[in-house]
Amino acid sequence: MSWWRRNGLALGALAALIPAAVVVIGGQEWITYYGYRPISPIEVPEGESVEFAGATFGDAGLTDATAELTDQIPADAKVVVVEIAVRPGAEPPMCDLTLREASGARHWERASSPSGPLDWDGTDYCPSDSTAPYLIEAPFLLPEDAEGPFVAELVVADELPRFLRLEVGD
Amino acid sequence: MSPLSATHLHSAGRWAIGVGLVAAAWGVMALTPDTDFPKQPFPVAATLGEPAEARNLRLTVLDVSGASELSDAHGWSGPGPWLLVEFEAEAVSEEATASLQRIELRIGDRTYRATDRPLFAAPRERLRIGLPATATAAFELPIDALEDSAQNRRAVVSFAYDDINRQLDSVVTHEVDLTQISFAAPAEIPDREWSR
Repeated sequence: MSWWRRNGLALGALAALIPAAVVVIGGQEWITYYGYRPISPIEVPEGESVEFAGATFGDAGLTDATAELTDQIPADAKVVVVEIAVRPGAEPPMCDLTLREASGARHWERASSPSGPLDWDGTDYCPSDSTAPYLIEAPFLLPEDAEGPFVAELVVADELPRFLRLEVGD
Repeated sequence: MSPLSATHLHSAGRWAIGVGLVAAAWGVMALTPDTDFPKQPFPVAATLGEPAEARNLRLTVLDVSGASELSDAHGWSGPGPWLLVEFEAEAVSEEATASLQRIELRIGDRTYRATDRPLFAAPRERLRIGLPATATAAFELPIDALEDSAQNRRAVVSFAYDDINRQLDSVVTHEVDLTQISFAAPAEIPDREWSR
């Protein structure tokens, strides 16, 4: 037993340092991976507003624009437009907007050009040069069987891993 | 007095343990797979006309044909021979990464990428959830791909989302017998369009 007793201090240090190393290294890896991904939603109920990234986002809703765009979309598709009123502060944030089924199953990207198939004139993102209030109108191309309810996910890169999840109904 | 020194082994026993450990190390070395083995993608074989289900991807190979020269409806043309693979694809649950960045033809140990030149064929454009689009991937072939050889009979076309991080994602594969395809006539590559 004397060997254990003579090295008691070192053994005790090991017992503390090995878990500390796991936590520090693992935590560092966790932060570099998840710290810059949207994993921590701020839920915003329908009709409410929220302060986020130095701006106010609110009155989120969904309208159907299928009728205006039938010539640009396949036969069994529909277009819904997410509308969010934005009141920017002194430093208007950039943002990215996606649409998700509230059940979490399916996740859509904007369908407006340049990367999407729809010609679209509305403001479908947060322009960083607008200090005046504006309305985001972002179109999403859904299959007919997608009936909601839906949530709009609004990501501001500087705020990650937090992001807004706004209920927009169905 | 370290813990080990409390044990007393005969020298024959020590030798047996040493040799045993060397043999065990050799066994571990022999059993260890290649370093890229843990990164293998998951292949999903697609038969002509049947939808293949992969992660976030539903893809049907509609037609495989050859062309001596290729043109499109927008004034582009390129001398061949070309292999044309018409396919229909849709995303299942996530649109963000749903672009077929990796469309390849493997002949023996050589890999060819689908061309980007006929812009409107756009086989790599983002897929949409539940809304299939039909596109054509075109591969420019070397002349020796038209010869009758074992590797030309077993060429493989593959489709996957990520061209850089290929690890552990599914890849839809379709085997093509190049010797059964006619490369005699010119063809026009159709523009990408919605399937319905």
